[in-house]
Parts: sequence; C-alpha cells; structure tokens
Amino acid sequence: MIRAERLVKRYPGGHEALAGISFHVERGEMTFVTGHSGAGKSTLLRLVAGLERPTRGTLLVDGKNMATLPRRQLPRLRRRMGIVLQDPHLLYDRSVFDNVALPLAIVGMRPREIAGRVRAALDKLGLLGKEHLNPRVLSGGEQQRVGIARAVVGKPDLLLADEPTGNLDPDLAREIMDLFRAFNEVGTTVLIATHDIYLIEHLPYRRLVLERGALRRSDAA
Amino acid sequence: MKLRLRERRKGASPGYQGPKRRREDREEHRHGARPERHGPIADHLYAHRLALAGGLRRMRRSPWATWLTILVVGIALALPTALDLAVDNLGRLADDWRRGADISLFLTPDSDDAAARTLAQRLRDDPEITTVRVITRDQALEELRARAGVGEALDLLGENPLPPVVVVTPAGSDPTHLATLRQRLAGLPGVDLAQMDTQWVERLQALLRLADRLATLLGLLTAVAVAVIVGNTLRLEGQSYAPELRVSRLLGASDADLRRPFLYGGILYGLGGALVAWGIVLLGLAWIAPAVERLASHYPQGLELHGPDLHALLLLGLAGPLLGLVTARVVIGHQIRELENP
Ligand SMILES: Nc1ncnc2c1ncn2[C@@H]1O[C@H](COP(=O)(O)OP(=O)(O)O)[C@@H](O)[C@H]1O
Ligand SMILES: [Mg+2]
Repeated sequence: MIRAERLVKRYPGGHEALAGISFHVERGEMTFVTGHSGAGKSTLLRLVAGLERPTRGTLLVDGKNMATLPRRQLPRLRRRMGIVLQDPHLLYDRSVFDNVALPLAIVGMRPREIAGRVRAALDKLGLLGKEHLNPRVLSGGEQQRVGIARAVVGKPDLLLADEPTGNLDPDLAREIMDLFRAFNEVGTTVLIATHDIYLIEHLPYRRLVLERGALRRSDAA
Repeated sequence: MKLRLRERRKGASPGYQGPKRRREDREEHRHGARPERHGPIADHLYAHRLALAGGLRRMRRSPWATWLTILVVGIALALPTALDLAVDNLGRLADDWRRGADISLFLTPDSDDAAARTLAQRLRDDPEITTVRVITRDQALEELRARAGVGEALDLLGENPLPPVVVVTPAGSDPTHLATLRQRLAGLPGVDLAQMDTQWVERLQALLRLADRLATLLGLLTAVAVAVIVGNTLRLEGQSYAPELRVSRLLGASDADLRRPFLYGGILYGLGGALVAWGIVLLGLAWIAPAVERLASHYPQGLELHGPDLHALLLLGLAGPLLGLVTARVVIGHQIRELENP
C-alpha cells in the first residue's frame, strides 16, 4: 500500500526533514511511526497524504507515484484515505454533525444515507450527544475525536493519523487505539504517528522509528 | 466515558481477519464510502443542485454585499442597454422624418409662375414622385416676409426678387436613391437649384451612427466593469471560505467540486444584475412615456416609443450570467490553485 525508497523531503530553506528512508507497508497492515519531536513523523504522513511532494526518491501510495501524480488525480486517492492531522482543522461555522458529514457530502452521498453513517461514526467516538453543537464549544480532546470521526466516517482503505491521541487522557487514548485496530481488522491499512511509546509498547504492530529524518529501526513488536 | 467499540480483540495480528466474524461487524467497518447508487446523471444533477444551493447560501450569508453587487451590476448593464434603446428610437424617428422630406426646386430667377406650373404638370407623371406643389413668387414672398421678419427690407427692394418654387415629395426613402433623384431634378431645364430638406436629418443620422459606436464601446467597458465588480465580490467570498476549501480538498474534493458553488454564485450575480437592468430600463421607459406622448401630439405622422425587443432582453439575460460565470471561473480558479494545504 505504501512503498518508500530513499525518500527525501527537504523543506524550502534547506532543512532535510526526511533523509532518504525506505520501507514498505503492506495492504491491510497497521504500522506506527515513532520518534522524538522533529524526527519527521508528520512530514512522512503529509507526504503519504499528498499534502507535500517528495524532494527525491520514490513514494508509492496504492501504486501511485506521489512525486509525479497529477494534481487532478489526487482527489480520487484522497477519497479512499482517512486523514487525521495533529490540528483537527474543524470548520467552526457549522455543527459537529456537519463537520463529520463533509467527506460523505463531497462524494455525493444523499442526506438520508449521510445521517445514518454520521451518527454511527459519532457513536463510535462517544460524541452522539454533541452532534448539534458547534465544535468551538468542545474541549480539545472532543475536537480531536470529531476529527477522527470525520476521518473514519467514509470507511477509508487507508487511515493516516498524526498524534491522534495527543489531547486525550490515557483511557480515552487506549479506546481510540482500539477503534483504529477495529478498522484494521477489517482490512484498513493504518499508519499512525505518535511519540507516546507507552501507549503502543504492548501493541502487536510494527514500528517505524525515525530519528532526525532517518529510519533507525523498523521492528515488529 | 465509554467508547462503544464492537471489536475488542486483543492480540489480533496485523491484517488478521477473524473467521468467525459476525456479518454486521463486517458491514459496520466495510471499506470505502460507497454511496447508494443513483446513476451518473442523477449524481451529476445532484452535485449541481447542491452547488446552486451552496452558491445561494453564500450569497445569503452576506446580504449587503450581495445586493450591492447585484445593484451595481444591474446599473452597469442598464447603461449601454438604455443608450442602445435611445439610439434605436431616434433612428426610427429620423427615418420617419426623412421619409416625409421634400425636395424644393428653385427655378431660375427669370422664370414666371406659369413655367413653374408647366414643370409641376410634367413632374406629376414621374413615378418617383408622389406629390407636387407649386409655390408662386407671391407666395414665396409672403412666406419669407412672415418667417424672417424682414418685411421692411423686402419692401425696399420694390420688385419681388424671388423665383417660383416647385416642391416635390419623393416616393422612396432610400438615401442614395433620393440623392440621385435630387441630382436628376437639379438637371432639369429651368431649375436653378434642387434642395433636399433633409440635411439636418442626415446630420442627425450621422450623429446616431456615432452614438451607436459609442454604445458598443460602452457595452464592452460595461462587460469589463461587471467582471471587476463580480470578480471582487467573489474574491472576497473565496477568501472567507478558504478554511472550508482547504479542508474539503483534504477530504477529497476536486478543484471542480470546490469551484462549482462559486460558478453558480457568478451566474446568479450576473442573472440578478440582468434582472435589475431590465427593471431599470422598463421603469425608465414607463417614466418617459407620458412625455413622449405629449411630444407625439405635435407630429402629424405620430411618434411611437419602442421598448427593447425580445432579442435585446435575451441578449442581456444571457450576457449577464455568462459574464458572471467566466469571471467566477477565472477568479476562483486562481484562488483555488493558490490555496495552501492544511
Ligand atoms: N513546513 C516546514 N518548513 C520547514 N521546516 C519544516 C516544516 N515542517 C516541518 N519542518 C521541520 O522538519 C522537521 C521534521 O518535522 P516534523 O515532520 O513535523 O516532525 P515530527 O512530526 O516528528 O515532530 C522539523 O525539524 C521541523 O522543524
Ligand atoms: Mg508532528
């Protein structure tokens, strides 16, 4: 599903956030990307999501070369992804419900069908009672869960999450992890960036450990 | 708080698919936002209906800017339409005046009234002439005395210096045709001068041709002005919707998806402006109609105010929305290309 070969990302200004890393994430695999702050975790996820373009090397996502994929083919790929960014990027001019409904509306789903799916997603994230609220009034952790609900509501083939449990207390963090695992068990490829090694140390998934842009280890737990 | 997770299977290996999984579990997490099937045409229409609703919603959100834009676009579109209408009406009027225009044949100074009558008799059989009238030397003197107020000066002359005049009304109204007729009449024996009473009409018509050119120029300038007004409104709208555009693109919206509501917005501004322009022109016509009627009572052949024809109204109704659409495509297309990723 994701194949990187000598992948380099250099930001304008010359900083090399990824210094030629190679790895392969199989279809249906669940993988963690760990490492200290500034190691390049977010950069890697943004490259996979097509939010940044590789500087050098190869990055294939679902067989598409992310260095050369034409702009207008990106939406097709994005519709099969669920993306959770560190900042949830919610829209504050509409309700929680409408925020979560957005990806479904984009693919042209009708309101009747949207309603059922959005409620199911909100239910999974324990937000059912908040659907009519404006996300502005929610806590940081709740906002993050709205962002996760929005990422999973479309039942994506590839789930990318950047520090999805950053604002959550430990119990909630574990439950969110369980949600990602549940998706993985029905075949969703999951790539999660986190610096919270205690949360994942007992989980049976492979880890890509980044250190200053280099891949230090790629180990199965 | 308890998350309601259906699956809690500790130790499941990556990608492991439980053989005893219940059916509804599989449904629950099934892949891909596969919407119910409606068919490509229905989906297409639905997307456009949604975009239209989105465009309207965005306009409603800032009603002042919306109405102001529509009003200004309407006024801008009304100006060339009104000028065109004025030129058209004056053109018709000038044609009427020219049609009624006579040619005066001044006979040589030594001619007497009998010569004029003989000439008139001959001209009555001319197929290019409808009526012939003779102004005798005495009548000419009377007219001049009455009109110019130079009675005393004329009395000093003692003898009547004026020749008789034969006034003919041409059958046709075609300008070149009239010109050849005038030349032919000027060449007749005994005719000193053949003068068409239409020189001022011709001057008016030349002026109207100029005004027509100006109307075209004004129309082009108006198109530019409308594009600037609508473009500016849409640019501000696009800026205030930047967060939504960025997030929507993150979630898989194509550039066309992002543009569509704004394109409808542009069309709606143009259409609204065209409707306002129609209103302005029709109200303006209604307002000047009584004055035209009063004027008409002074003209024997009558005077009729012509409103814009269907063709002009349709042209306006198409030009407005089309202009809005093109402007929106350029302005929003540019903004979306420049949009940064979240
Ligand atoms: N847009 C950017 N422009 C320049 N440098 C950046 C940008 N984004 C990240 N970086 C730098 O790249 C390095 C890796 O950043 P990041 O991928 O966010 O790391 P992590 O998510 O592991 O904390 C950091 O040194 C960071 O300062
Ligand atoms: Mg990061």
